[in-house]
Amino acid sequence: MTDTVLNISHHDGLLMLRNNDDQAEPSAESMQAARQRLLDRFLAGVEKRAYRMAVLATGNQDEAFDIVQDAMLKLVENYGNKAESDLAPLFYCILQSRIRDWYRRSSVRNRLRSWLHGDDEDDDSDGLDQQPDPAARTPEELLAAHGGIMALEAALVKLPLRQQQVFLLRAWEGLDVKETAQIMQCAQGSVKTHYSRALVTLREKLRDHV
Amino acid sequence: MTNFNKTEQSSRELESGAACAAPDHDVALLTAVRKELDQSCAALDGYTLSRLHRMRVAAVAKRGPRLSRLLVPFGGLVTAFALVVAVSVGWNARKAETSSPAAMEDMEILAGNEALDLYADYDFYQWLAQD
Repeated sequence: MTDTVLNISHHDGLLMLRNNDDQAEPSAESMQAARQRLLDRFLAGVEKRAYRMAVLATGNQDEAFDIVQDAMLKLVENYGNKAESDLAPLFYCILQSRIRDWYRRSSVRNRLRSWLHGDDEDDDSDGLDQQPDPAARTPEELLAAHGGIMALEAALVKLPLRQQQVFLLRAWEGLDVKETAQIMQCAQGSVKTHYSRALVTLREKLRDHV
Repeated sequence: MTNFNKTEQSSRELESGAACAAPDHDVALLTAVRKELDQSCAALDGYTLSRLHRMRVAAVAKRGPRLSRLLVPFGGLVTAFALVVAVSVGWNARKAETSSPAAMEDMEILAGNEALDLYADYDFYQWLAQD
């Protein structure tokens, strides 16, 4: 019986195990396949949470799919060779950038729409849209009815976008202040402020739930 | 393992102080929030999961060697060969055309010093000669 000694080496951020007898360098194809597997595993690990974050930010499933898809493609195309430890911050940075782009676009679109059609809409309005919807439920009511995710979602959706995303990155993804600031492209002090305000609001809204 | 698996996440939280530096009631709130959000991910419907899976596969496939990239050098050779064949065939056809007796006759007429009116009225002179 012969002893097999494994060599451990790093290639382009990948951990490679080779037999001592096997002196040949890994081929480009095997490296490529290993990198693809790594990217697939990473994306599989973050895709659901990224999608949920995008849904909470946009309130629209199709927009959320587009944002997540863009983030995936951008990560693979531009940063596919980065070390595994860098992938998560990069991915969330791209995701947040896409969410901000979406928010700016929709803000401009809404302003343009209200500028072009604002008067007409006012004329056509019969006042019903100004009345409270009896079927609409506040976070507290949802909380009472479902006591869970719906109440939390309602509370999260009502947060300002930056507070919401900072809270999710800090509380859900477990990122620290510095990483969150880099991803959100803002100062660390802003991250602390957003996080604190989000926490105060959520504490208030979900007081009875916890 | 990514940085974002739960075990490592917990250690990151301890380091960052996102959870442990918070008061007890905030820790309870954060734990509940994380639990709810994790459950919402686990409860995603089949359509969403399938679409996310397709998106991921498509994105990772971008990383792989593309057929078009592999074909670029080969395609260049094929194009160059096709151009050479087309030019040589066209050249030979043109050469054959210009070397035919009729073409040579036309060239002689055009290059000659005689007035072209004679040739323009050639049919009339031919009819006159027959009469």
